[in-house]
Amino acid sequence: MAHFLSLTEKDKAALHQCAPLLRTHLEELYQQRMALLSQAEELPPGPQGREGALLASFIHQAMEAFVEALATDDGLENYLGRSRIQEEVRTQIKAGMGFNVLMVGIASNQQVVVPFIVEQLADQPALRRDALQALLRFYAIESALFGQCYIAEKERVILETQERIIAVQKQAIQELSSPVIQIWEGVLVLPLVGAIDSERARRMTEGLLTGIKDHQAEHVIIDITGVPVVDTSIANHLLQAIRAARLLGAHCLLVGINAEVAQTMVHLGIDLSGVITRANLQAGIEYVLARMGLGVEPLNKR
Amino acid sequence: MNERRIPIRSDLDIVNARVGARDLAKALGFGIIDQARVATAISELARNIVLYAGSGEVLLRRVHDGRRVGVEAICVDQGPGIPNIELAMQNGYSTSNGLGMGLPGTKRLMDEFEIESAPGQGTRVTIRKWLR
Amino acid sequence: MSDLIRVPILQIEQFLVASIQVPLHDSSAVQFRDDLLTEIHRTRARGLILDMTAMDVVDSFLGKLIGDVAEMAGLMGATVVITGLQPAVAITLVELGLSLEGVVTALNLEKGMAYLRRRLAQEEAGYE
Repeated sequence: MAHFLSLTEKDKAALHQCAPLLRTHLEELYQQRMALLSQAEELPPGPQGREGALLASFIHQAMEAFVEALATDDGLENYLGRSRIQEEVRTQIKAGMGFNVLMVGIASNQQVVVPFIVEQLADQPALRRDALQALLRFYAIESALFGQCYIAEKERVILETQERIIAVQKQAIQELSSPVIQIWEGVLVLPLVGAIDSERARRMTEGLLTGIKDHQAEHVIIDITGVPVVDTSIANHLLQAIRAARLLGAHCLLVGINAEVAQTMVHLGIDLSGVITRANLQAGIEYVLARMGLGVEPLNKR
Repeated sequence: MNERRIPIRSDLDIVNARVGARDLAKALGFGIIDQARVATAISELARNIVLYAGSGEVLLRRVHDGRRVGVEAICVDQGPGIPNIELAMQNGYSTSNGLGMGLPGTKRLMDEFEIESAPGQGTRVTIRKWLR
Repeated sequence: MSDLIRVPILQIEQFLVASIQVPLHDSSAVQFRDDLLTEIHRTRARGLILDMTAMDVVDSFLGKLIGDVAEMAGLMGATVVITGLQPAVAITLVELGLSLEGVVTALNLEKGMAYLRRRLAQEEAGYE
């Protein structure tokens, strides 16, 4: 089934027949179009706009391309093709031209070519009828495609900008958060706060191992009090980090698992056997100190 | 250099492939941990070539997908092929000598992993890692 | 037959110490394992430190080999401590699925020696 927004074989044949006629009168049509455009308020003033030589050269090339396209099936397909129009839109947006300018382009072409065909084919009513029908459809398709591509391009640019902003902010956040804190000689604390995705887990592991190396730590207390959800994936990341830390000779201890997290872990069948856990940071510190043969007591003993 | 072909015929070549992969990853700007991942993955695949096919080739190259730069390795051999790829991709699967093919681990280390293999048709593994 | 790289095995105090400085291909690694076990047997060493500081890539072959050495040496009465594993190597081994559980590790040679001394002292005091 043919798409609604496409030229029929009859349309194409009619356009092919118009092409030589348009080519012969190209200069004349070009002058008429430039005259129209110089009055267009939608175009900005300046060299790229109403007054400019740049516009003139652009329009001349555009008319040549247009006439060229009408001559063959391939030409039409390419001219009304997404890739050409997308390129056109991209260039225009980069040059700061808005949607109106693109539409003025199409309209000025239409307002010059249609009356021309009406007059030139006055003695060939059948061809004239087919040609006008074809041109109507042609311009409708062109406008629709320009509209679609314009919207798509705008969305793409917005998305790109958003992604860039997010990346910059992410970087800033990372630079602000310090992964490990040495609380005693050879003892590190790694407080985790917020949601942990693969990317963050990777960074956490790298930071942990670097910290172990830098501080020559043999004990690490990983505090997940601030992590709201621990699913299978996060648990796996934690286990990987703990295993990797062990390969550097550091023993890790997990603290801060609250009631909800504990329930979730058991329901998900997460196996933390082999990992020492304690309720909170204080309990963790006491455990580690005890392992080191140290304890905390008041200064003035009675 | 954007492309390097390393013939794999013995365990010496496994080291060549490993070092070549590490060097390419380093040249492309990968951090030391990703360099290790890439080198290890290629080492595993090169070893498979030696163990199961006797000989083959590793093609290392820089790739680009329009947005990012990456490293790609295509490991090819004309060996007996893998009869059951799904089985080989399961964790813990190991062949008779206990060494196993290390395919699941290799896949974990890289961003992209593609394998084509059939009995009598040799094996072709393509892996890629993209610079973040 | 490829040229085998022989990794030197030193004796420091009552322990053996071997440090891998260059990439080992598989045959050399196997030879290394054999050399280690032979030396342990010959010297009746109670401890062995395998230093991996210079290795920036360790794949599954070497990873498993290290695990095997630790197990075999253990059967011969020697504790093996793997020292100097780099973060990149540790992460990669774990991602490969080789956590080397059951193998004693330490950050560096000094800590490895300290561990072996403590352990030997404990064993001799009867805290096996």
